[in-house]
Amino acid sequence: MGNMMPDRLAFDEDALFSGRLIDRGRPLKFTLDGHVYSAFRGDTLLSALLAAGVDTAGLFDDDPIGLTPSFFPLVRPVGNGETGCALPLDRTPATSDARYVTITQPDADIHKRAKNRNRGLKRLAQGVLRKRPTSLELTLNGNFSPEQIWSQCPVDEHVEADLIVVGAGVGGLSAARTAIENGLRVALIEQHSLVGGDARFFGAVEGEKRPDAFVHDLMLPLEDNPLLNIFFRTRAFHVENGGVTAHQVLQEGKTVRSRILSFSAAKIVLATGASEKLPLFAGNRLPGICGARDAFRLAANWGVWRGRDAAFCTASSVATQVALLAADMGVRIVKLADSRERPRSRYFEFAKAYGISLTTGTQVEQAFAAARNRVGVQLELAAAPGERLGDPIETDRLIVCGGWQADLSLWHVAGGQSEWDPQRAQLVRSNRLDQVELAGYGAGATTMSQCVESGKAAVLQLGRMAQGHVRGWRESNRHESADGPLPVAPLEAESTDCFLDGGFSLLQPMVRSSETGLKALLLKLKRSAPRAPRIARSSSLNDVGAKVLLGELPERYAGLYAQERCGFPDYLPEDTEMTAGTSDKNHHIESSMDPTKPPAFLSGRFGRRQTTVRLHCDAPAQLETGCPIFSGNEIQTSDRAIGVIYSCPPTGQGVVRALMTGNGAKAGRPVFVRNGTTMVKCDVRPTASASGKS
Amino acid sequence: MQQLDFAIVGTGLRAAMLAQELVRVHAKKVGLFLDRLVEHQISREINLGLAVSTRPETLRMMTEIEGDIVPSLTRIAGRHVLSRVHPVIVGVAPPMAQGLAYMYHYLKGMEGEIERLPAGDIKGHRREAIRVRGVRLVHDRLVWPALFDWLHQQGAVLQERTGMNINMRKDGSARIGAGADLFSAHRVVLADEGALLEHGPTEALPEIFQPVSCCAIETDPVAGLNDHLVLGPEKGFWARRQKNGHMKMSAAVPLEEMAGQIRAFLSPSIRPRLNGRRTYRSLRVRDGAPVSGRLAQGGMIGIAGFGHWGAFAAPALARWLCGSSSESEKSFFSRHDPRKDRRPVADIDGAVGEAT
Repeated sequence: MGNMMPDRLAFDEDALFSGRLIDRGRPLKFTLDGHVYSAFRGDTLLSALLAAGVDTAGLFDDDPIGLTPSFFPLVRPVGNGETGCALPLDRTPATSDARYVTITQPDADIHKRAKNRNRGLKRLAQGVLRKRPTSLELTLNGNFSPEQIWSQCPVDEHVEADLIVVGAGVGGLSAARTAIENGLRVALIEQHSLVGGDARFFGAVEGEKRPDAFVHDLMLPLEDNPLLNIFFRTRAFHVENGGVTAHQVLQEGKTVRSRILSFSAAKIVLATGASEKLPLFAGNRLPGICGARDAFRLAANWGVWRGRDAAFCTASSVATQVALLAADMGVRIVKLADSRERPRSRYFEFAKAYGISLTTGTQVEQAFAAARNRVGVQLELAAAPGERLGDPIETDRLIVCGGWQADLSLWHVAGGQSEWDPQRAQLVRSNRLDQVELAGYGAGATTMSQCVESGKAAVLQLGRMAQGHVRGWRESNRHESADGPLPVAPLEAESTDCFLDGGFSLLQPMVRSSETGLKALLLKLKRSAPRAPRIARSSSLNDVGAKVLLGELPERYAGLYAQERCGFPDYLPEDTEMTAGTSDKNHHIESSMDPTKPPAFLSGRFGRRQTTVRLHCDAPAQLETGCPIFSGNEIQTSDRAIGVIYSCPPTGQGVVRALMTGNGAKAGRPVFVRNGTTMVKCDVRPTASASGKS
Repeated sequence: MQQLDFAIVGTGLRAAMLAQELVRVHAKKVGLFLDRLVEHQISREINLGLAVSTRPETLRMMTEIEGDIVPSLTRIAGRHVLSRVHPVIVGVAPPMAQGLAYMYHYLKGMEGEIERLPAGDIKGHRREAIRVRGVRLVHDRLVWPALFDWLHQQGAVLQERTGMNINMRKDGSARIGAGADLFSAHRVVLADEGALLEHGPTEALPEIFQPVSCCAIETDPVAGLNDHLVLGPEKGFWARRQKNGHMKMSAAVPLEEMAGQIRAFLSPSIRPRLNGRRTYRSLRVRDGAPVSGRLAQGGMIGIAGFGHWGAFAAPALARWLCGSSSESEKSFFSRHDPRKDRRPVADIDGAVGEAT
């Protein structure tokens, strides 16, 4: 079994990276795209794939993109008649003998399996050589956010509550607990299969209990409480006044299916935590590169760790603890670098004790694919980007962390606004909503105690029971340096494989080449190959932050930009009424207009004395509304027209009406009507009213 | 306090091009009050060398001046900022469909490259549609950075519009506060509908203006559309398909009514996925004709109702503002004064009714 899961850490009961969610005594197998993978009970499809060494989602243009907990395709079960909505790899539990295929988008041209002509041969060779696949072989050009697909699925179940809490981290649990203490029915939505959020990862500060104890204490009054309804493996993707829509992965025995849940409640608390920023350098999404929190979750929950050694390049102290925990598990730390000049953290002291030296003021200049599936990393001085530090290093895994951004995606969907906070170098909320409130990191909390306070404050604020405000949140963690700014390497026009974020948007910087002449032309030609669009694509909040730091977007516009582009992508709301014209019915051109009267836009068209007349024509069937009238039968430009037809029956049977200059509208006078190159002779007849003047 | 000949207030390319013309051609001291966010926002306008109109004077004017901005635009931002497109104009409501028939015959008679599409051409729904060939399109996203740089280099004042305040004096000049800066402008021009709505005289705004809710969206690639640019003038709808299949659309309707616009003007079966959305308020000119003139005696100068050809009208507007117009241009702008009888200029988008 070990061979089938090369990237699984050995079990250590006392270690944090033990894989607490898996039962190593209960192995199983499942099939994805025809390949059989081994897993343990408790694995998700994603953790099992990563443990099996599948580290590549596919190709974005020609660049391989890593498979990570922040970026993965959707799958669909096969063989059991399941027609539910698509399942995400990260929340779908691995079950024995289940079979799945990765799915394409409805518009298959933007997300389809790579056109690999030798794919069958490759698979055969893999079978003969017993070689494991390392890629899902998808082409990734385009936008394929899971939320877009889920938003099209019908609702399976409606859930009513007094309060909806999105996120069962410390802030969310605190909000749920406060609401229940006030007698409210709470629906708690959590995307993972356990509570506590990232408390273990971010850890406790001085004076706080250990995260597990903290969460345990919060949960005590909630367990078996009839007022609380927890929905695990459920991801909220839409929020509006009075409701949340979410996608749930449901396991019933060996069967896994998805459901769309519609939650209704008068008040909503969003405690969705933070998203990890991706440092900007060429090759920042190559296979083998992973965010610090993703690496922590994979190792702590499922015992997954790629390779035998790792390098760390971060701007946040909490990422350093991942290095220490990995070292505990026998992973060799080849580099521990921090982009800050003189960072202060308890973890650095621990690192010294482990014999791991910290290099400060250092960031990644670029990463590249090295031999034997390893990652090459070139470091540079953070204070002098472009000034390289030694030769490239090679490692099985590069762990990066560019700091944190409050996850305000749902806040924006709900109609909330944000603005750029230069001190925190991230978007923060800038307004309040009557029915939706933030808790946890999104509300400004940075420690577990503050998250608890923010959860309480959010519920009290929504219930108008008190002013939900907690002071002094940011000063409390004085023993740790604040996160550094997002590391940004100098990007050249050739840096086609740099992305602004690690998620689904796949947006890239707008790199401007400094080259001129022939080289510039060659670069332009190279880049005019089918690159994915950079503009017409929904953005993540990290994309916006990166744009600000790259100077692509002025700080003062970041909030408005996020408001326009950072909701989860969705379809247009359906309207029930046709609104384009006055009606959607199939009108003929004059069906609802009085044919005896010219339209308003002909007012004064032929002077003050313009007159309506009837025309008697040789070939009325050749005429139509809008045809100009001339005094002679030679072809003339429209400027010379003395009148125009404003009513003309389509069959040619009936009265042809025209508007003419006062002088031209003399009864019995011959005139010529032009339709294209055809001239039709007509005689002027006075209108029935005879008044003529219109 | 900085002295300005003109304070140009706007929300889009027309205002910026007007400022550019006043600086480049007429050597005026100009302040452009426009939020630079426009460079990053979802486009709410499309700039075409095409007037959707039934009025010969408007169509003639458009034809005569359409090429005027080409030299300045290409010099400032490069030749790639302009391209030729073949927009399809669709009319659904009877007055609009009838108006398109007039426009078709007029342009046909002026040797324009125009064709009438069969009614069944638009996905089997009865629609009147014409296609105009070879219309110039400005790629505004490419223009903005170069245009801002150029204006800055030429010494034009560039200020954010949001938060500015305008105090008009009786003689038509104004004292303007923007951020920490103060300006004295000889004349104030509200160069588009957005500027008129937000900075026009709220109580004294002529009745021809009607506030409307608008939206602009960008979508994922949409399959099954042959036309790259579709205009539905009834609600100011436009939809442009980019090379990569993504769509940009805008209309003078709330977001919840946009699906109806798409069904009417593009296809009943299309339901695009949003990548971005923007909602905003603007003004509609009730009679569908251009507006050019003072909004009140001695007041601000308002420019509106130029539809998609506003940026192309900038050179003529600049000449008019500086008193160097040709007789025909002078007559055109004079006829479109918002305080005059508008019936003789009422156009294709105007209220349904009888000609007088």
